[in-house]
Amino acid sequence: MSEQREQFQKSVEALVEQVKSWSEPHDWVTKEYPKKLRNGSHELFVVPSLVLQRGPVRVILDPVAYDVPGSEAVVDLYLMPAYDDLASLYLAAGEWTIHYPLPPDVQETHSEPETKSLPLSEATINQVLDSIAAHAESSV
Amino acid sequence: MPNRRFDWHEHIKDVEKEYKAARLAVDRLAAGLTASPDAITDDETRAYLRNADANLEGTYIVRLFAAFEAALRSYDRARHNDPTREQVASVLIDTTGGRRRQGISATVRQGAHEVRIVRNFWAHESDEAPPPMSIADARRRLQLFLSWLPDEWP
Repeated sequence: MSEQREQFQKSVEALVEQVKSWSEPHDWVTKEYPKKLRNGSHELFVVPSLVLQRGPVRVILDPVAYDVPGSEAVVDLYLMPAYDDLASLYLAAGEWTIHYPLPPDVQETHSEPETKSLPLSEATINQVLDSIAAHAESSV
Repeated sequence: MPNRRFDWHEHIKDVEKEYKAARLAVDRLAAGLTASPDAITDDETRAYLRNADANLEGTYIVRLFAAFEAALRSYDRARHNDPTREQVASVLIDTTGGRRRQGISATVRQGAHEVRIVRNFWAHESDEAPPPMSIADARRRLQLFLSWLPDEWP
């Protein structure tokens, strides 16, 4: 197993555990799903993804790739079941940052969607999840 | 090994992401050619680059629908316990049930049929141009349909 891939798996496992422990006290019900990924040599490996549900709103924290330019890992957040893009988490220098497009009603201009970059913490992930829940249509 | 619906959802999302990467690459190349017209001197390649640009979203909608159709075919074969069973996409959409055999809503089925019609146009199975549909809209309709299938099947 390559060192980078092993590190990616460990980072994603730690992220999933962290997001579970931060979101569950805020009434999000979580469930892990093993996700199959292939590396550049087409070798299959498995990392956890995490589905979070509160009321009718379901989102998935979905590992995407490692060793991408400017980042050690990328994990996306989608609204289910349509898989609409919500946010992306990037790992750099061992720290996760969440990039979240502001909802249209709080954007000052309508030309390009404005994106907020926040260091990942219990407060910021719940801020983003609360905003998603407030603006999402029923996703069940 | 059982088929997991989750894996099919992921596969469809991956196709959309490949489209976004290809869109970015083609847009960058086109912008580069505007700035440096001599970067590609072969006229035929320049002409096909214009076609690639114009047809990119349609090309990926064909791939998106192929992934969706493969998911439905896999479920249909498992449901009928017949690994060689072949049904056309329109029949698969109309006859696929749902969780606990409940019917899939007419609105969701119609959404998938509309993507199928767009696929037919881009795959040159039909000359009749359908209303425009973005790849995000197509992905949303197909994922909604798939979400009605059971979590897994044999």
